[in-house]
Amino acid sequence: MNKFDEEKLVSDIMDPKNQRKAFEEMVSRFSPQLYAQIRRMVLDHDDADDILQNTYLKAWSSISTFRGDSKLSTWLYRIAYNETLAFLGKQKDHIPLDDPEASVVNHLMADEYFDGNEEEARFQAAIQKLPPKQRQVFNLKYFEDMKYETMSELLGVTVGGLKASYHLAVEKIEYFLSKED
Amino acid sequence: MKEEQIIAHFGKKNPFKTPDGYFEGLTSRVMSQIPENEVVMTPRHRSKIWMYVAASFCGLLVLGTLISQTVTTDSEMPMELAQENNQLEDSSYLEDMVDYALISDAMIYYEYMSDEE
Repeated sequence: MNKFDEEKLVSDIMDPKNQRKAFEEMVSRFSPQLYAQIRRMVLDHDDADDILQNTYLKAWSSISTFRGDSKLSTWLYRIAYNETLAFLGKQKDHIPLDDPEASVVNHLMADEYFDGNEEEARFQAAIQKLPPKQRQVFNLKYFEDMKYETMSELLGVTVGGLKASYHLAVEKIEYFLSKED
Repeated sequence: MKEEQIIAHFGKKNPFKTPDGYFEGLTSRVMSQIPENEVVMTPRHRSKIWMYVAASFCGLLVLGTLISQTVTTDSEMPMELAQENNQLEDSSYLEDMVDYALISDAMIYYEYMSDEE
């Protein structure tokens, strides 16, 4: 979407007359990107779907607080990120303790919406071992090539902090994977 | 295995799929869940807001009355009692200062005795 279009969408979102239609356009435009970010964090399609829908419900209920100071995508992304962290916080109590990594690999290999081999499942399992905030930094940098400056705006963390976090995440993943070999 | 090696080994492919037509259906599902208007202020919400305003006003009224009573009591206090009260306040202030400055009793005594001499 070019800048002009986003500006138009923002002005429509803030106009009660066009709000609903603009919101619908926003949902259809941003969903694939938001879904991918959520899905990488939670792995399961149904969970990602729930979180994404909750994100939009929260966005709608707090739409009057959106003043257009930040980009629409940044505002939405922050809501999605907070929803994801809240979900992961609740999920922590249900993770099997015996062998969580094997459990993630088995779960992915049995998932009809996972289109990868066992090696890729192991890679995802290693990423899942990272703490949620570090996992998000890794995913955004590794899979989306997001600039640290953009990430800083999204996550509210300094560029230096993000670089350190990513570097540490790479080292941890390397360690997790080498331990299995 | 550093970042480049991880990329070389695992790539950056997104291995996650969605059910067919997921995003097409998602928009209509989301739109069917959100209420018709952005913020619907129901009569119940309005009466709640007025209740909060009234409660805050009552609280301020009570607080104002209490403060004005305290000020009146102080101004009507007999002169001797007021002076004694002030001295007590000064004394507790000095004690705090002494505590913060870490001045020991022996130092105070020494200073006092040297002044006497």
